[in-house]
Amino acid sequence: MGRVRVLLQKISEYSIMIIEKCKKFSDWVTSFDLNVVWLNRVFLLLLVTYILGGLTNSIIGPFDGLDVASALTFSFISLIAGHLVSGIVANDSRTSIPLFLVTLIFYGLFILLTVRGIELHIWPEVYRQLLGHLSICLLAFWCGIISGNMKSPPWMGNLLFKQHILPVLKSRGIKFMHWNSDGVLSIVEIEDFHPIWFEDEDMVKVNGSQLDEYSPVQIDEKNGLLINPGIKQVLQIMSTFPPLWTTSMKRHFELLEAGSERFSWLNLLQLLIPYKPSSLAQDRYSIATNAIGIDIEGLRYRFSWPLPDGLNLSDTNHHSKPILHYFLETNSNLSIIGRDNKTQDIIDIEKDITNSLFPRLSSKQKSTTFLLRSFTHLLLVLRQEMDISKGSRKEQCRRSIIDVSQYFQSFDFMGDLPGDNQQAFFVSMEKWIMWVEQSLSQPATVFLRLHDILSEEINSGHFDENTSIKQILAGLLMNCTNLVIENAAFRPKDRIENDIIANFSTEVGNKRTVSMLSGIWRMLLMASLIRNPEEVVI
Amino acid sequence: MENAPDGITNPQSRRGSNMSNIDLILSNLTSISRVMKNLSIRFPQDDAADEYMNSQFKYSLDGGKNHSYAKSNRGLNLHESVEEDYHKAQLDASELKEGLTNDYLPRESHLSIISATEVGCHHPEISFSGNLSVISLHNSESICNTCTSHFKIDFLKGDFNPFRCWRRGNRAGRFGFVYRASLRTHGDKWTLQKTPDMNRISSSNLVLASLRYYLSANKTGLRNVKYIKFKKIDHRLANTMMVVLKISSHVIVENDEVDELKHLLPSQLMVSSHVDMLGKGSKKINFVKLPELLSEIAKGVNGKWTNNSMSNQSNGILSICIIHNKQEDLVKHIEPVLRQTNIVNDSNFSIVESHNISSNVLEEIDGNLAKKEGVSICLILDPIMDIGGDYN
Repeated sequence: MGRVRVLLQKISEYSIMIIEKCKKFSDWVTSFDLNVVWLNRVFLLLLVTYILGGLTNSIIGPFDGLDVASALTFSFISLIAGHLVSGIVANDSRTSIPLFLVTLIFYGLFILLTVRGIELHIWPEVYRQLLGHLSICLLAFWCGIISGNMKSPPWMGNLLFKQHILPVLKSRGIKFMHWNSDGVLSIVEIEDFHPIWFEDEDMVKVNGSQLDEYSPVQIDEKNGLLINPGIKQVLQIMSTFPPLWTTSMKRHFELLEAGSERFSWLNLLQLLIPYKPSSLAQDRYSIATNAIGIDIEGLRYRFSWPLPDGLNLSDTNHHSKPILHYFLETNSNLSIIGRDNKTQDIIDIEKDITNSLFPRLSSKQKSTTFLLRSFTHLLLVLRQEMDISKGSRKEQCRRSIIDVSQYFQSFDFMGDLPGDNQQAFFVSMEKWIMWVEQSLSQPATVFLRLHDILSEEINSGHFDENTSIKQILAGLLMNCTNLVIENAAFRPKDRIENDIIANFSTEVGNKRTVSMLSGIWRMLLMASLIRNPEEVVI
Repeated sequence: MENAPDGITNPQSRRGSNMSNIDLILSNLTSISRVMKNLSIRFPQDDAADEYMNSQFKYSLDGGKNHSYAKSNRGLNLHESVEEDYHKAQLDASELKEGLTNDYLPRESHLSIISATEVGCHHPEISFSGNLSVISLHNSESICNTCTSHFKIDFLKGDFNPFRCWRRGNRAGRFGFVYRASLRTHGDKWTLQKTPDMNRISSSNLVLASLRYYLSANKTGLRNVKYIKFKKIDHRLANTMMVVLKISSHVIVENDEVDELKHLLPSQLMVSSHVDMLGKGSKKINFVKLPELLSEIAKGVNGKWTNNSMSNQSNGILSICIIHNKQEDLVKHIEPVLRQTNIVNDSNFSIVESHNISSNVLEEIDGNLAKKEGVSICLILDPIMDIGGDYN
C-alpha cells in the first residue's frame, strides 16, 4: 500500500507539473503576436508561382518577347508604389475594392489562358505586350502591398470591434459622443460609427477624427436626456471576449479610455469651471453625479461626467500655455499653420464662453478671455491642493474655491476691466503653483505685498487715466481688507468659553486665513490683468 | 439712511431746493469721511507712520497673534527636569516681556505703549503732560481738542495745515481734499450747480478711487456721483481738508445793482416803479437768500464734520476764508452773516483778494477767480483722524 501511495503521489506531482507546463505553453501561445501578414505573403507568392510558373509556360504567354529592361523598371515602380499604399489598400475599402476587381479580371484572363480559352498568339504584338506589362505591374504592385504593413493585430481588432463590439453596444443603448478639437459636441449613433485602422499612424479614426475624441455614453431619456459615461460598460463587454481578441482590440480600448479621460478634462475646463466653478469644492462623487446643461444639435442634454482620475499638474508641457488649449490641441495632428488655425478656433471657444458669462464686458474680450484662463488655472491648482492636503489646509483650499468662484462670477457687474488696447496677461499654471504654495504658507505677508502693489497702481498717474479701473481696484482693496479685519476680530473671552462648537479656535483661525486667501486670489486675478505676472513678486 | 445728513442742520428745518443743495454737500462729506476712515486702517496719515501702520496691519491680518508669547509656550517641555523648566520659564518670561514691547497687546494695538511725542505731537502743553501715550490722545478730554486754538491757518502765507502730528498733520498727503461746489440762481432761488464741472472733488488717487467706489456702491452715492468731477489734488493742498463754495461771477455782476436798490428802497420807505420795471425786465434774483444759504451750508458742514467718521474729536470748521476778485460789495453781504454763525472766531475768519493767493492754490480752489470777478468761500475743516482707523 505504501508503494502505491508513493506512486500515486508521484503521479499527482508529475500531473501538476505537466499541467503547469501546458498552461505556460498555452499562455505563451496566447501571448504570441501572430503576424497574419506573413501567411498571406506565403499564400499569394505560392499561388502566383503555381499559376505563372506551372501553367503559362506551355502556351504563348503574355510575357513572351517582353523587353526585360522596361518590364523590370515598371515592376520595380509598381512594387514601391504597392509597398507605400499597403496600409491604405488594406484598410480603406474605397481603394481595395477597385483593386480587387482589377485583380479578379486578371485572374480570369490568366485562368482562360491556362485552359487556352484565349488565343493569345493571334493578338497583335502590341496588345500582348501591353497585357504582359500590366500583368507584371499588377503582380509587382501586389508584392509591394503584401510586403508593406498590410495587416496587423489591430487591423484584425478593428474588424472585431466593428463586428462584435459595436452591435453589443447598440443592443445596450450605448452611443458615442464626439468632443472635437474645436470644442464642439455631437452625438454619433452606432450605425454612423465607422472606425478605420491606420497602420502607419498606429491610430483608429472615425470620420477623420481620432478615436480618442470619442467616448461611449449612455443617454437616459427618462431622466431629462442625462448623459453618463459608458466606458465601464464597454470595458465590461471587452472582458467577456477571449484574450486573443482583446489583445487585438487593445489599441481601441486604450483610445476609448483615453477619450473618456479627455472628456473628463474637457468637461472640467470647458463646462464645469466656467459655468459651475464652485462645484469644484465638492467631493468627487458629488461632482460626478451633478449634471450641467449643454446644447447638442438643438437639443438640451444634461451632462454628467466624473473628474479626471488625478489632477496631476506636474506635467510641464502644459504649464506655459492655457490648459484648455493643451487638451484640445493634443489630439490634433496638424502642421504649424494648421495648429495656428486650431489655436484661433480655441480662442473663439473661450470668447464664446466669456461672452455668455460676461455679457456686459463684451467689449473687453481679450481681458475676459485672459481672466478665464487665469481663473481656470487657479481653480485647478486649488483643487489639486485640496486633493492632496488634509485638515486645515484642505479646508482653506475648499473655501477658497467657493469664494473665488463667486468673485469670478461677479466680474460681469464690475462695469469695466483693463481694456483690450492695453497689454493683458494670464497667469500660467506654473505661476499659480508657486503663488498658491507661497500664499498658503504665508498668507499675511502675501496679502500685504499685493495690497501694496495694487495701491501703487491706484496712486500712479493722474486720476483721469483709467478712472474706472482705479475705482475697481480701490473697491477690491477696501472689500478684501474689511473682510479680513472683520474675520480677524477678537471675540470676547466669555463668548468663546460658552461656545458649544468644538475646536472653535481652529475654526476662527481658518476663517481668518480663508478671508486673507480670498483677498489674495482676488488681488492676484486683478493684478494679472494690469501687470505681467512675471513682474508680480509676492 | 446711510448717507442721511445729520449734525446741526436738521433736514426738516430746511425747505425746497436749499434742502437738496445742503443734503448733496453733506452727503458727499459723509462719504468722504467714511472712505477716509476706512483707508486710515491701512494707510498712514504721515510718512513717518509707515512702519507703524504696516506692523499694525500685519498684526490685524495675523489675528492679533503674539508671536513671542506663542514661542514661549512652544518652548516649554513638561518632560524636562524641573530646574530646566524653571530656567526656561524665566527665559520665556523675559522674551515675552520683550515681545510685548515689540509686538502689541491683543485688542489694544500698541498705541498704549508709544508716546504722544513719537507721533509728532507739538501741543504747547505736551511737555507738562508727562509721558502721555498715543491712546490717551484719543480720549475725548485730550489735548488734541484744544490744539486747534494754538495753531492758525494762514491763507496768505499758504499755510493751510499748521499741524505736524500724525493725527492732524496729514503730511503723507493721502487724505487731503478740496470739495468745490458752485452755487447759482435758479429763478428766485439759489441752488447748487449739478454739473461735473461745477462740483469737483480733488484728492489723492487713493481717496478718489475709493470714494468713487463707495459712492457707486450705494444708491444715494450713485445719484450724486454723476454731478461730481474727480481730480488729483495739487501737492500744495494735499494735506488740507477744505470745502469751497463758489459763487458764479456773471450772476452777481448782472444783478447786483438792481438787487441792492430793491433792498435799500423799502428800508427808507421809498418806492420806485422804475426799479420794478427793471426787475421785471431782467433776471429775477433773490439776492437776500444767498448769504442765508451760505450760512446754512456752513452750519451744516460744521455740524457734519464735527461728527465725522474719522474721529469723534473733530472741531468741525477751523477757519473760514472769503476769496474774491473785485467783489467787495458782495463780500459785504456775505461776511456779516457768516460771522454771525459763530462757527469760528474772528482770528480764524479772513477775507483775501484772489491776487494775493498763489496761482496754483487758486487754480485748485477756483481757477476762474484769477481771470474773472467772483467770490469763493473756503471752509477749512479739522483734518484730525484717529490713528489706526477702526482699531481704536
